[in-house]
Amino acid sequence: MKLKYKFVVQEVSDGFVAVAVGADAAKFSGIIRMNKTSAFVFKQLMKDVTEDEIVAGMCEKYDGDEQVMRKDARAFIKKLAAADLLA
Amino acid sequence: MEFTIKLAGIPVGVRSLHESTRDLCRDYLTDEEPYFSVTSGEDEIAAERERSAKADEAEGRSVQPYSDEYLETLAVYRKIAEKMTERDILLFHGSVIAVDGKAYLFTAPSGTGKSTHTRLWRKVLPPLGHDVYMVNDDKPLLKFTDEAVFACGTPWDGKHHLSRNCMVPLKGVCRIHQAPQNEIRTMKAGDAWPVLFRQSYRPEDPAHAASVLRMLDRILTGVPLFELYCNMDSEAALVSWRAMGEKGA
Repeated sequence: MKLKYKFVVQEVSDGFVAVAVGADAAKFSGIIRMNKTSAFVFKQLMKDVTEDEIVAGMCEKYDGDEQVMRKDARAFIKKLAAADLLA
Repeated sequence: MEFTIKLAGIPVGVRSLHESTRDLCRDYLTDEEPYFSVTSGEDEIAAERERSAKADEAEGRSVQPYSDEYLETLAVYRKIAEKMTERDILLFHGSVIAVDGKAYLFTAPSGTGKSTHTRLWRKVLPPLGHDVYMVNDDKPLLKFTDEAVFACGTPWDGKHHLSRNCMVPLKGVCRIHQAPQNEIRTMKAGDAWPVLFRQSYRPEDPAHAASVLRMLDRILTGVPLFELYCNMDSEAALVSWRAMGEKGA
């Protein structure tokens, strides 16, 4: 799975935000707010990746329980899918 | 037509087809050498016409016929806004009023009542002894320096042409909602980003998107944000002023 649109991610005072850019800005005009881990997942999704690949990446980068990370990743991916942002 | 205007402290060269554009900018003309220049020709006017038609269709309106002269002013400001993002200056949609040397910005979708509300401030606050004037009734530039955020007058100041060539420290941003009773509260953290993003200039170049987001973050962290539910009575102005001005920064 992969994000449908081209996004720019910016770190800000209260986490991270992402907006669609270029021609895609007309297709998605919202702003996505994320914390550090969901921003990580989001950036992974800029390429075509599987859930396993995402979780493996998270485990490499962050300390923590794999099950918890998978659960968090899944929840965030579900939100993106519900917003019709995933292909 | 070739002329230079100074906006938000930056001299900008403008090359346009129509004299009416220079005329619009008469209070901002300068002899200074431009830091950068923008050009508007037939192509830019045609692109604005198409943009405007698309926006009308998207909102279920019949396509509004705009003159070339008017569309040129939009094209010029759009190009200026784009380049200004490289200089920590952001175009923002709202009606900005200065009271005793501090600026307060009211934002909302067009037609909600921003100008109506700032007009109430102009009615109610001077009799109470305040120095009040309009900074920009429609599309101010916000200038971000190390110390502060400034709201700036520009020639793009709405249908009633309310602005002053000035830069005033921004001390409050308020989203307006029409309501039967007047009430104000602090904006919820979760609402701030979508509100600020929606009313700010959306850059065409992806490379400018990060700058815009950083500037919006400066507003979020440095300027008090409010939600106002209001009607058109004078009391509405007192409710918002008390929260934003008297109690505010």
